[in-house]
Amino acid sequence: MIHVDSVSFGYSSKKLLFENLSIKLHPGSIYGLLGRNGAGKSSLLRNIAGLLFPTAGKIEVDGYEPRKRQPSFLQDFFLIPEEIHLPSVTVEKYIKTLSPFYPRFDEKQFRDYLKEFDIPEGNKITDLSYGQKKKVLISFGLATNTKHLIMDEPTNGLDIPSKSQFRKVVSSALDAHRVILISTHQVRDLDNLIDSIIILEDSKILLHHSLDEISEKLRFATLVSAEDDNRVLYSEPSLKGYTVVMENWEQEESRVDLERLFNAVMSNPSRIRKIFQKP
Amino acid sequence: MNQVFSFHRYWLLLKLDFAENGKRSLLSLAVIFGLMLIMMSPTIDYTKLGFDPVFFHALAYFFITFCTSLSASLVFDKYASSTKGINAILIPASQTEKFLAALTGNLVFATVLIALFIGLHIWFIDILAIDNPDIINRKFYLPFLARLVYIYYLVQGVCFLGSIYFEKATYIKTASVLVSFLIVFSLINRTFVRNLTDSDPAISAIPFGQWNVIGRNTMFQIEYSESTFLLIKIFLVFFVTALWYIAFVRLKEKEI
Repeated sequence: MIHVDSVSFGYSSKKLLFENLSIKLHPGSIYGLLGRNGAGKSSLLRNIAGLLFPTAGKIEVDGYEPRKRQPSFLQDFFLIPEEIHLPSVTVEKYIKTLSPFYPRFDEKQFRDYLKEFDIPEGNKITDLSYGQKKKVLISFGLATNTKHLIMDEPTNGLDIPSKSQFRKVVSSALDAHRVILISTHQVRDLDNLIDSIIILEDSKILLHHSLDEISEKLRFATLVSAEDDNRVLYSEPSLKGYTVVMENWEQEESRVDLERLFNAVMSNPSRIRKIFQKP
Repeated sequence: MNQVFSFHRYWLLLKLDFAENGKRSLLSLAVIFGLMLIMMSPTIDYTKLGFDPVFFHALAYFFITFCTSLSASLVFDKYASSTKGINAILIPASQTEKFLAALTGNLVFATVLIALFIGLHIWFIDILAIDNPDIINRKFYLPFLARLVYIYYLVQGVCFLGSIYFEKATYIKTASVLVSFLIVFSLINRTFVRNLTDSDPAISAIPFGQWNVIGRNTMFQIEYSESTFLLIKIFLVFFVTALWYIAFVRLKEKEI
C-alpha cells in the first residue's frame, strides 16, 4: 500500500506545489493520476519514489519511507519516468546487469512482453527508436514484478497500435498484490485500463474515487439541451446535442468518460466535492 | 536483508558500472598510459632539446593528476541529469553501496595510474642513470613521492566531492574552489610565518612543508619534526576521508 499522509511539497519554500495531500493506494488496483500541466503530478510521483523529499507530512510504501531509499523498498518499486534513459548496451546485456537487482524478475515474462510490443531482440538499445526504447523499459518494469509500479506518461511516444498493446499488457500484469499508478494527460489511453482515478489541481486532490463509485454518483449522457437542468455539472456541444456530466439521481448506469469527467471536476470542484461527500 | 551493506549488491553495482563505463575507462587508461610512456621514455633524448628528462617526469605527474581529477569530477555526473539520476537513485541498492561502488571505481582508476607513474619513474631514471649518473640526484625519493601521492589523492578527493556538489560546470567550479582555497590558505600560512618571525624577508614557508631560511647566500630548509610531520600526514588522510564522507552525505540528500 502507498500512503501519502498530509504531504506538502514545493520547489521553493514560498510557493508550495501541493499542500496537505493525503491519499491511500491499495494493491489490486490501477490508479490514473490526472491533472493540468504544472499541477504537480510528476512531483507527487517523485515524492512517492523518494526522488524528492516532502517539506511536510509523511509517505509510507508498505511500511518503508521512500526518502530513505532502502534496498528492500527499491526492490519492490519501479518507476517508468516520462523522459527515459537506457544505457548503450544490447537488450541482453541490459537484462544481465539490471535484473539481478530485482529478485522477482521473470525473464520469460520480459521476452513475452517484448514479443507483444514487436521489439526485435539482439539490437543495441541505442539503435531503437524512442518508442521502442520506451516499450523495452515498460516490459522490463512489468517483468520485475515489483509490488509498486509507477508510470509517468507511459504512452508518450507510443504509436496507436502500441497504446492498445500497452493497455493489454498492463491490465494483464495487475494482480492482487500490486499497485499500479499511471500519470498521464492522454486520458483516452487509460480507457478500459484504470479502475480508480485521482485528479490533482491547485495543490489539492479534487477527486479520488474508483470508477464504480464515480458511475454511481455521476452519469455521462447526451442530452438535447443542457440548459435549466440542475443536475448538469458540465456540458459540451456535440452532434446530437450536448454531451454532459450530471448527477446520477436516477442511479442509471453509464460508462465513465475520463475526459469529460476531468473537465467537469475542473469546472465544478466544489460541487464535485459535495456530491462525493454525500453518503 | 541488510539495508546498509551487502557484498552481493556492491558487486552487482561494480559489474553494472563496468558494463556502462568499463570500455571507456580502459580506453582512457590506455591513452593516458601511452602518453605517460612517451613523456617519460628514456629513449627520447630530451637533453639535446635542452630539457631535463626529470622535468618531463614531473610533467607526466601533473598530466595524470589532471586526467584523473577530470575523471573524478565525472563520477557522479549521472545524478546531475534527471533522466540518468532517476535510474541511479532507484537501483535497488543502499546509498552506502552506491557510494562505495563509485569510490572504488574512481580509486582503482587513479591508483593504477599513480602506481604506473611511480614504477615508470623509478625504472626509467635507473635506465637514464647508466649514461647520465648525475640524474640519480634528481630522482624522486620516497619522502617526496609520498608527498606527491598525498597531493594526488587530495586532488582526487576534492574533485570527487565536487562531482556531487556541483551540477553544472563541475570541473571548473571545483578547480576554482580548490585554487581559491589554496591561495587563501597560503596567505594565512604566510601571515602566520611572518607574525612569528617579525616579517623577516629571509624566511618563507609552504603550507605543511618545510620553512626556507636564506642566510650566508645559502638556503636552509627547516623540516618539521618526525612527530609533527606524522600528525600532518594523519591530518591529510583524515581530510581526504572527510571529503569522501561529505560526498556520501550529499549523495544521500540528492533530490532529482
